[in-house]
Amino acid sequence: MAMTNTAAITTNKADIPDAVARTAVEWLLAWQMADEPSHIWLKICQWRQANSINEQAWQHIESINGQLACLAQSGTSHIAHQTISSPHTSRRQALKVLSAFIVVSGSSWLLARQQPWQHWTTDHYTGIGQQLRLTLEDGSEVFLNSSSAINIQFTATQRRIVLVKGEIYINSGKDNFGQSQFNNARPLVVEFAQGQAKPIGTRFAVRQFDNHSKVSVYQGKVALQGSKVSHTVIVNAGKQRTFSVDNDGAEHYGASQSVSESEAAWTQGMIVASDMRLQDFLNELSRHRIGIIQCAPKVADLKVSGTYPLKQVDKVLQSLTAALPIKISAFSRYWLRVLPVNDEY
Amino acid sequence: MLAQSLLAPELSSIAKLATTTKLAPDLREQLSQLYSSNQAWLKGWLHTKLGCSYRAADLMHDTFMRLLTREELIQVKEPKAFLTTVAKRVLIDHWRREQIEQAYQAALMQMPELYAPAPEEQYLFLESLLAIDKLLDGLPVVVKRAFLYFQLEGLKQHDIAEKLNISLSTVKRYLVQAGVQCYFAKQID
Repeated sequence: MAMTNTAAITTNKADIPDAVARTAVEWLLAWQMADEPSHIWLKICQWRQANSINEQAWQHIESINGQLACLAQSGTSHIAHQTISSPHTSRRQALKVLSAFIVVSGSSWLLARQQPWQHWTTDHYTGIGQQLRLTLEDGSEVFLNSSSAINIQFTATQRRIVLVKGEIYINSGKDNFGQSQFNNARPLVVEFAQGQAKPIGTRFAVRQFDNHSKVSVYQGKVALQGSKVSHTVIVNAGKQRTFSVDNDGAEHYGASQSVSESEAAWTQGMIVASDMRLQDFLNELSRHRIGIIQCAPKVADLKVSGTYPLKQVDKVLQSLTAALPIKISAFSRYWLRVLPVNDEY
Repeated sequence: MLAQSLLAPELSSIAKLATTTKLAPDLREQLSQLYSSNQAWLKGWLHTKLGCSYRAADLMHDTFMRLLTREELIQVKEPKAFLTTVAKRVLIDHWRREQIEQAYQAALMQMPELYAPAPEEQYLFLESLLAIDKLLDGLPVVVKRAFLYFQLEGLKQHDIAEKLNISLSTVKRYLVQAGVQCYFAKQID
């Protein structure tokens, strides 16, 4: 791109009249498309000299063409092209989405699920290895486990928490707002991909897996309901149930199983294992550490017991090698393998 | 790590910038008042959007930096609504940046041979990408592509017509439309 004149830009581009802007772009294109550019260039120089606004307009074009030239270097131009024209949501759409969350948070979680930035637009989220504790306006305590996301929608008639991803533990509070204004408390509802859970004065956890959910109740009880039918199942204290919906829309409740308080130890930043299979233990640990932890089948059934801090996954792994006949081999920081201690690889 | 290192000097640098840049005294006064009475609240708001206190601190900083580069006084009747509007723009830029970075990394992976620009080269390239992306924002994809084929890849008008399956005169029209927006931030029909 020829840069002949480097006079300072003093006119804001918004102040260049539309007609001048358009003419400048047309001159640029005529020059770039011409078989004999030098002929057009002379005319462009005349046009620029005719009027200081014309000159300013041309300066704006050249300053941006400098940036374009940086992208047009050999070998990189089509990367630039691909990146900029890749299908994405534009700023304007993003702004709409963002506003929608602030103004009408009604059903916006559905939208959030389909957006590539689903976690960014949720009200609260945690990355891998992070945990978050919130106190809601009704006094409910909510713990977000590693890599989880929720939206909170409190309206005049209900208190809704939408679990978009991961796991939450709730110690539900008493709602006073509803009682004073509408004479009855607003129900608390936790919504997840396959259905919803309504607690009755309780402590409980909901975990979202790829194709099912699990509700664990530590105190009180929770009514579990699928999104497509009205059939409700009550989960009592000390019990947990899985819940899934297959492709035909049929709902499946897993058998009721007992759950111990230690499963909620993550809310205290701990993992409590009692005769836990090594494979299961490592699966839990890997939720709190970026990367992969593989377990060799030969050692998968070894038993682990103890209380371990989730903040120091690498140290936990080290301590396991002292207690069990295993060793850890690292392909990279993000890819660990747990092997029998006498394994040659 | 980067976020952490930016966190500590955040307060002092805002104050410093406000005094060192050539701001009119009344504007400086207005900004520091806006800052001291709203920064904690704004950081909290950004935290709920981002879920990360370090990034929230960064973007809170960016929001005030954006105000510092303005030259006129701001009529602020509702400081919170005003700051939220500016912070939303900052957030969107932040998200778009992440998107562009991902698209860039994906495009790099697709390169036929081993092509690995140095980190500082990548950084400069990304900066330019973001700038041009912002200038072209809002244009239909086909208009953007015509512009990029022509201005970046140096394709001829009739090659572009063929690639995008549009007429020669449409190519010309798109190039003018994209050019007027990119160079002058103006929309034409």
